[in-house]
Amino acid sequence: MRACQTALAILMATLLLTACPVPIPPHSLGTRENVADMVPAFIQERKTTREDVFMRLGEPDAVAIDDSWVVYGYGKSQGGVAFVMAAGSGAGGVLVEGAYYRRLIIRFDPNGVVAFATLETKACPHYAGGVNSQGGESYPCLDIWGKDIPAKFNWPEKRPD
Amino acid sequence: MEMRKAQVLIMAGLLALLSACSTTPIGKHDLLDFLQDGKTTKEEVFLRLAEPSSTYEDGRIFTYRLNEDEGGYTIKGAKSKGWSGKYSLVLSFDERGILRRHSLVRVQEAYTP
Repeated sequence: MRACQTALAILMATLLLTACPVPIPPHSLGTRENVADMVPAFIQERKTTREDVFMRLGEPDAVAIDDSWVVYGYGKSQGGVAFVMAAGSGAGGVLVEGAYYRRLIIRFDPNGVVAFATLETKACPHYAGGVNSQGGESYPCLDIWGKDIPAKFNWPEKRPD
Repeated sequence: MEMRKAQVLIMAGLLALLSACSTTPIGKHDLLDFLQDGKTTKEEVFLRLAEPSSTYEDGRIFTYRLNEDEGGYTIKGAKSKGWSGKYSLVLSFDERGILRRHSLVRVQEAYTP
């Protein structure tokens, strides 16, 4: 454990000493943007239909295999810093930034009418890194793609992407 | 004469560089003009817009993802992780397959909740 911490500290120190820090301004994370910070007033339990929801918010980001629930997800970077390194013909970088996520979860009854609607929000760091053309990024701390919904609420499975 | 030739070559080079930066709009302003509630059929929608990005309620509701350039709207391809268009087009049909209601929802940029 101690060796791991030391290695991490050395890696961070190396990064700070060798890489060029580049400030990253707030930016979109490529998600939809029409998810407000509260459940929209037009969504009313036992009144609003699935069709009404779709007509106002568009295609959802996640949907149950039987259409019984949907998720609309939004994420935004609050800005951060990227460390960029170049050596020889290669280049690499690490990005650390604050991110803010929200998701609107809507459950429908068998008649396609809203039975339940809730909004969840979470802020956490977002990491991304890459060397040359290879790279990856951290998964959102709030699952805006709704993979955790069936287990969390004991609802039907998500439709495959 | 040589000087003039060089100037022409430089101009041509600059033009080539600048034109490489430009993109030709491929969108169509009238792409969705055929949609008429109470008239347009599912078949017409398929023929004009191709396969929807998703369907719901046993095919009663279709959704398409659209982008927009200077030429107008373009249809985006199949679903991928993340949102890949500025708009979501939602179409609902009646039991005869006639368009009952439709809505073009802006999902990215210039959205005010």
